[in-house]
Amino acid sequence: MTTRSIALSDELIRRALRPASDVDAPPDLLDAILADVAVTRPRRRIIAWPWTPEAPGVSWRSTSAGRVIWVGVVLALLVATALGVLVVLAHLNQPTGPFGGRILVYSSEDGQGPRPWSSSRTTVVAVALDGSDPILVPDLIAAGKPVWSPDGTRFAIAAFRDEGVRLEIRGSDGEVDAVLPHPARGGAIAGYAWSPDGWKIAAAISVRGVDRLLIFDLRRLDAGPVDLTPAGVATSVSDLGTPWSPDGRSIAFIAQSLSSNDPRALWVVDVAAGKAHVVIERINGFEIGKVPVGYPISNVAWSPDGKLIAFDGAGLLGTAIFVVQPDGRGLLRIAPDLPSPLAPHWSSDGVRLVFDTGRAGGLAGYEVWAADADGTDVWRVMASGNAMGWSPDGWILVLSPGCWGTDLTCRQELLLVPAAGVVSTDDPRVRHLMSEDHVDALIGPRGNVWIPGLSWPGTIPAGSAPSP
Amino acid sequence: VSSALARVEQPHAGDAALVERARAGDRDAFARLIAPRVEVLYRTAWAVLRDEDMARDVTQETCVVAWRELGRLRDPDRFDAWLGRSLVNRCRTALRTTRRARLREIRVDDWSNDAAGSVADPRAIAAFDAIADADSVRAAFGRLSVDHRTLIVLHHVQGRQVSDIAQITGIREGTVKWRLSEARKALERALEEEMR
Repeated sequence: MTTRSIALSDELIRRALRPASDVDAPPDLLDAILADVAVTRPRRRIIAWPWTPEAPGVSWRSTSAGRVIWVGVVLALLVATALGVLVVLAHLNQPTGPFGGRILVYSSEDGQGPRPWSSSRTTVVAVALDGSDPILVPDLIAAGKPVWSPDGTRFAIAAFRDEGVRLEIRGSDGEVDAVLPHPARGGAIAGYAWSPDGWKIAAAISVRGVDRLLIFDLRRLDAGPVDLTPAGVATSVSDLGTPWSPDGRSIAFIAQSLSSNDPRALWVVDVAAGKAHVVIERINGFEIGKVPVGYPISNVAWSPDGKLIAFDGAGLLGTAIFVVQPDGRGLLRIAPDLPSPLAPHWSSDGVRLVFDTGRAGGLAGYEVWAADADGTDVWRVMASGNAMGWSPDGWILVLSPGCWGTDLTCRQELLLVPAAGVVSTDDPRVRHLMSEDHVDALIGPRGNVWIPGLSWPGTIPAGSAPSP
Repeated sequence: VSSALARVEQPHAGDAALVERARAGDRDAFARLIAPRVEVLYRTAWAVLRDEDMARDVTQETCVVAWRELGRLRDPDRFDAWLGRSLVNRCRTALRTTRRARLREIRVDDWSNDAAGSVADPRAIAAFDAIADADSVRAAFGRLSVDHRTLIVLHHVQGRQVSDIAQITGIREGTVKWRLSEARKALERALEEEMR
């Protein structure tokens, strides 16, 4: 059998494949189509995405409406990308070390807190917001309390070193990032506080026996600190408290005349200009104007809205809390009927204050009370404890029970308490953050009370704090 | 076929208006629009599919979907290209799902009276050879891919220009030329296999 070859011409293709003469559309095809059309509705031309296929799987087309949508989608993507970049950048600026986002507390062996003259070792521990997983800050014997920077990426801590006390800036990884140049090697560092922008630190440092208010610019540490101490006075406080005005332009502090026995006065200094003025020199009608030298006005706290400065003052009959405008007007005594209120802390909205009241001047322990800053309302938060401040979302941090210096067997616990107060720590709304046992588990049982100087990480947004 | 194609190639001046009216939901306008096109659509489908039932189904589906999706057609003047594209795509889909079951058919209309004489007659032998050649080409055509079939039908059977094919298939003219060449070569190879 032979195989015949075929020359494939255009004509052959056409002739072979052309429809036969009788290949006509069925006569009822058009009717069938129109019958289907009669019962089918055309789609509305609402959806006009640019990727709408003109014929499925064949091509693509765009419409004017589609282009508008497309531009919108692109813009939305750009915005989302920009936000993503910002989130990433913010994340890069977040504390990423093991101490980042944790509460810093310090605990001393003798329960008296860090003191230069004490042989009691003071350690700093970072705990999670729920009080768990304590981590010891390494290579540190604290000479002051830890203070988080406003963005929570670094903390300041006074540390005992061979050469004396120095102020260290540590990152969230616990490592020393910078050491502030001490103008008087080894002198005491009484207190320190970050400026709101996180670039400066105000510190009360003893220089040749006189406490000075010094400002360190972390961007220009080589230039040394700026001394803002007014002439003829000495700052003499154990803790600067919350001295910075919210705009970072001014600092409130306590100072005493070097040449007279005048009581300590509340001052405000303009950081840029270096000009200081006395806000409160003496308070008529209260013992604070008569207190002998050595009884401090202390615990200065500038309100978050910048309008008021709260502080306490000690007199012969106890302590009292006041608020006053930065220019000295509007002095108001808070909770005058309470015995020995002290150590006020502002709520983040600047509306309320929480503070301690000392039973028998503190010898019988403390209670935690709160008050409106205008003095209109006062209520008890807890029957026993020390107020440590506010969480960013409006809960009160309490160290309970308040057993300052009286009961060496007392074991304390750090709590988050509703601002309205609770009857006891058994209230289900109370959040138990951590107890002394956490610290003991880490550094060994001491058998002593501990003083948790505490710093809440500043970057926690409102609402993210643990809640019951 | 040629007259129907001519209508498709040169749409009536009023067709754009009919498209607009049909797009607004006017069924009568759509009937007037589609009626003169059903024939060429069916023949094109038949040429690709080689099956009357499938050609009917594809043509009907193409027209009904055109009615439903007419709102997506941006340029009314391109209705025919849009319609042809839809038809070719549906042919492709239909053939892909059924080509395995295709049967070879011998068209009876190729048996002319002239060719029905004695097998010893040279004219009869030539006629039979022509019939056999066409049958072999059709069989080879059945071996081709859907895309190759479509291109061969559009170009060699319907006589469409490359630019028209480019519009219908949605690919560039240069690519159409290249693929046409490939389709032709594929047909030649398939024909050789048929002749073995």
